[in-house]
Amino acid sequence: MALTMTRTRTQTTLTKLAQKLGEVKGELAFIEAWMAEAGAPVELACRRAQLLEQAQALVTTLQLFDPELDVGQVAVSEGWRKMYRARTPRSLKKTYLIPAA
Amino acid sequence: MSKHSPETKWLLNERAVVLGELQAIEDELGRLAARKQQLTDLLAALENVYSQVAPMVPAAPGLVVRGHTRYGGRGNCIKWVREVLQKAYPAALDTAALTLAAEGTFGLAHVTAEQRRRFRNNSLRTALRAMLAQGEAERLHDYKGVPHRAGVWRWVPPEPAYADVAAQAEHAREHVWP
Repeated sequence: MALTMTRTRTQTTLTKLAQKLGEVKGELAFIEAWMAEAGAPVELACRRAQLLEQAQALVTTLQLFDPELDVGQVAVSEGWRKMYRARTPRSLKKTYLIPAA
Repeated sequence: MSKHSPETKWLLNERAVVLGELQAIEDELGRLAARKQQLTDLLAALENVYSQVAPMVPAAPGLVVRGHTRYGGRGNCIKWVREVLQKAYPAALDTAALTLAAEGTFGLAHVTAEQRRRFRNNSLRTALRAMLAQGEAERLHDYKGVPHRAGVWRWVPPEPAYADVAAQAEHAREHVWP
């Protein structure tokens, strides 16, 4: 789509933003479950802070998109796992911190 | 009555007025600071989300737009048109009257007829057609036949909800006339 100067809000934009928020929420849930385990890597805390910031930014943006939107309704999504190409939770944990490091 | 010399009284009154204006300035500065903080947070959030959505695409060059200076905010023109048509209902209004009313409300200065025509055709008609698409307004003029000098528009009251219609039907069934 051409980069025209319009502020028209489309369904596609809303869907994309909500999906992104769901993915960030899913990743946060994964990290928090991992951090509760014994022997979790220390880098997770840093990544968690980054994700919390991203989630807050997405919430602010969605509220700008539509102030009447109930952002709490956005469900947790597992789409973020696709990027890591891992089938099992164990292999996911192995590859998870490599791009961040 | 206490005795005050005229110079004391004048000085005190002048001081009070100056204090009042300073107070007004402080209030306005506080409002502006809060708004600036809000906008800064919003900018940071938008940049963060942009980097999440398009990590590979560099951000657009620093484009600055001073938007919505004409009607004092986003969507105010259509909101105003909706209100005016709603107030006039069941009567209809023509675009010439709406243009004149808009000039009064928003303080628009149309020097020439051409400027007024442009406002009517571009801003006002766009708002009316958006309302038409949403089923909020209807055209009363024949727009397919002879070209008119002015369009005539009327507000359309919202259709009753299904639950209301069902309740009405239920009520009618229970209270059969006579």
